Amino acid sequence: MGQHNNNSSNGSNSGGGGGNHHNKHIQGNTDEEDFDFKFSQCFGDKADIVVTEADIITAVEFDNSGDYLATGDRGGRVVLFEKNNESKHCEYRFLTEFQSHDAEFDYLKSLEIEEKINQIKWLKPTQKSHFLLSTNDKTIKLWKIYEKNIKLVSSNNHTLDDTSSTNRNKWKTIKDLTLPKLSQHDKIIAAQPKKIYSNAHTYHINSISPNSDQETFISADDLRINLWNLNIPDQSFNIVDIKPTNMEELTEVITCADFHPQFCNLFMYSSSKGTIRLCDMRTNALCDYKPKIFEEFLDPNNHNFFTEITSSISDVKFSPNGRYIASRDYLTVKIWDINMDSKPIKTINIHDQLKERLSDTYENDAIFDKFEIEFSGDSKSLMTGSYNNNFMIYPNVINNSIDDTIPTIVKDFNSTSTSSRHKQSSSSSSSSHSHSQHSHSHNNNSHSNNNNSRNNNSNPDDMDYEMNDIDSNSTDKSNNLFTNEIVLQADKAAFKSKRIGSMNQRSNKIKDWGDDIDFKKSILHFSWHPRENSIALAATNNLFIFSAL
Amino acid sequence: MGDDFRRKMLLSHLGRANEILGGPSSEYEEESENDTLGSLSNFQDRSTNSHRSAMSILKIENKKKLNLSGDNNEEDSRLPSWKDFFDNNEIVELKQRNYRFNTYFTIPSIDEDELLKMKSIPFFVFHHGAGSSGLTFASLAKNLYKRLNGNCGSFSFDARGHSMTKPIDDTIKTDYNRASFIGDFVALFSSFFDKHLLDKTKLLSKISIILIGHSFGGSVCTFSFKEFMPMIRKYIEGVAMFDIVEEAAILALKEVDKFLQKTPNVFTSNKDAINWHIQHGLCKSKPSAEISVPALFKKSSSGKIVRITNLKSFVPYWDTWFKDLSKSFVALPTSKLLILAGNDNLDKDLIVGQMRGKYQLVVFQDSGHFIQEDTTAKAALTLIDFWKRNDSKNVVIQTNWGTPPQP
Repeated sequence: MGQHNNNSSNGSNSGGGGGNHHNKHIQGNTDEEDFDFKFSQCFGDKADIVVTEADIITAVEFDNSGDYLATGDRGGRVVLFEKNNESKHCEYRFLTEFQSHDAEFDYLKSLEIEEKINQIKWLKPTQKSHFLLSTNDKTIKLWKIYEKNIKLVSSNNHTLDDTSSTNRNKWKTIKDLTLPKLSQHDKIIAAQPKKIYSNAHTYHINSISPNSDQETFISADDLRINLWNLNIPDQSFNIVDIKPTNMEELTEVITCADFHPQFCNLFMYSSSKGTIRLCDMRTNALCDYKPKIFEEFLDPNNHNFFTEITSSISDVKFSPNGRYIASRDYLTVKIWDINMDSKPIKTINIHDQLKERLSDTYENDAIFDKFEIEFSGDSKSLMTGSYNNNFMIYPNVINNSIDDTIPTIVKDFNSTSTSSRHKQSSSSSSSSHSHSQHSHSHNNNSHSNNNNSRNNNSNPDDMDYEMNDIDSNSTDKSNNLFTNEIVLQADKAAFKSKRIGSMNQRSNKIKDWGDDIDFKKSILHFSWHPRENSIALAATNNLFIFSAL
Repeated sequence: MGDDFRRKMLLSHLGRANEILGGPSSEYEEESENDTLGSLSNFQDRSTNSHRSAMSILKIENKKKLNLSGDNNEEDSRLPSWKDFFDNNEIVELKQRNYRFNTYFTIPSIDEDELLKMKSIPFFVFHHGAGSSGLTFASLAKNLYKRLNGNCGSFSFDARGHSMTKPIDDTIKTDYNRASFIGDFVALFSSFFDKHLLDKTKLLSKISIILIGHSFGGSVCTFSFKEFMPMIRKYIEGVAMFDIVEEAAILALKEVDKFLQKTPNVFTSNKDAINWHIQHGLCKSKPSAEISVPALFKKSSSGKIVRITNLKSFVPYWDTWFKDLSKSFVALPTSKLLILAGNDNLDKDLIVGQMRGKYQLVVFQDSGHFIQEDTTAKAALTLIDFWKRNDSKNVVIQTNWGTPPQP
């Protein structure tokens, strides 16, 4: 093994050894640095004995610039953070907090409507204010966040003179009186609900998505999707309705909906049966008319008792460039090309170790957990969460998948330099590494500097051999052979700045759950900064920020 | 809660599959009974509409360690309950109204000999106002009972859309226009009358029913009078309205939006809610507030209490509520009492009616809108007077003819 380096949690990759530096100029290494996510900040009460349920974070979202970060919690509060742009590290500070939603009671159904924030989505800001949409199960609110100058009276007639009794006689005439003077005292950040979109959903709202036209947005509940105009809070159009006339025949619910980031007429929604429907609003008022259906055919022989539940898509997102769709179901992430609906271009198994534990997850309801999926700002990488406070980043997984022109680039960490030369000849800038058949392989990618020392020792023959190997495997699509995976943990362990071992060694160690899976520690909600490799994620009541800067 | 729907659907599918196949899920359940998975052992039964078990574990730990909601429970148990004010609490299901009404009542239990000596026994029937509940009259009922030594009866209930009265079939649209409330009131009291009073013939022969309505309830009582069946109507001796004047009510409705904005719908505890109501002058008497305010709220899963009635849902029906109230009240063919609080701004019909002596007007200066809660004693005395004076059974006309002159 090469030398081990301990990287500080704040600094960028310091040099491992002098001789390795020049390797950094090669594309491959800079990519590795790009994904060296380190713990940056943690907000929240880190004591983990008892968590007040109201503090559990249920939504995390960066705004379109990345300068602001919003979190929503079970108590209906929204907390905003602002980026400290003066620091070269990724640093956020608390900006403001407001109570977005409150509990309500539905008299007729005798049901309580929770104040838990299900989603927050930012809109484009105006010059002076920021706007976001926040939603609970039944009501969506448009919030305006702006700076308010507080003016206070700085001087009035009392202060103008001495209050000693002798001078009281100064006020002889009315001309001596003056109006009180106001002066700027303080700036506070104020939040105001500008519109409240209510009474449009019989079932619980699971997602909202603003349109690229910044005038409309959709809200989706279990059976219906409504289209709203931001300016009209008391009316909405129903554009998707999958409610069967006989509720006994209900087999499928809507789980998530998203507007296309560029085309204002396209949106998609995912279902509990594992299908994604891409709809065009121009074809019909009710957008069920011949949508494009993205569904992977799974051989029924491979079905098990739980397949119906695990195939339910919990989150679906368009890539920021609008070319890909990523969907997350309980065990996998699927990447789809928007133009190809027959099968996903890639399937990533997130936590294979759960496959044997499905019965446990069914008993404790963990199987119904809804994990999110996030694209990086450049549409190349993905991130999702798991249990034991683990979260996974798949760097450059998109480019990697679609490059059929080059034999899929192979690299194990022994031959970083040779393959990177290959990469320069290809248009893709991905860094892919070979992966042995073991799920716990130690040949996972490495981003640390340890391996640079081995770069120069690669044997071209070795590489050829690996290439052949991979050719035979290149037909196998649904495996992690060519997928980098970085596994990190959002836990007290992250605070420690000591990093022992290579990135993939650490990833494997973190992922080795054994029998000890803490299902209460799930990373369900997170957001990726739109312009840099920084991520914010929620671990029960704590907000973690990791950054590769 | 959001996944409940998907989860319920999936579980019901699996359940059905289970029945058909005698399938695997039953096996898993058996296994889990044998296995002891330490940290997962105290999860709740799936068949209940519960949160994820992890969340429930958090809640249980929360309660045990911080005893937060434990404190609330203790506080709540120190609050009075309906039992301190009424003898019975009955849920009456009326299919034709599509509602299950929550009713409170006390029937005088007087033995027959005593009964013969009495001339008349008042029976007070209450209807609460919008946003209130049947327990707003609890203090008044108790006060009347004490003053009359138990020789009176009382009946109060939660109207539709309020407190613990619930629709039977929630898919049928509910109307909140005055006619619906009148229909409910008449049907409910008629059913009560048939069930509890009809068979007590001796008691019934002495009964004098007085209808008392507070605010919107007054409007309901006024218009219900003629809707009662003659058999019941003949027992009604009078109608009383508490703090309601048609014109003033319509004007006040215009301001209701502001009022609703200022009034919070969520409080952290019953104690908080009671204090808020008192501080904001909605209730002047703490003992009354302690019984009437908690009835307006329901405890939510997060420990906070949420207001049950959404007053906004009545907005479309307001224009039906007070239409022609003053005219109709003045024209009622029975004894009438109007108690107003603070301001005595009568509208034209009421002024004319008063000048003609059509009804008794009483003004309480030191009361807020909730007369029955703020000035319970005065209201009780006024009602008792009203009953005594107007009850035909009480009146004994001394005649000189008929009895032979004494030698």
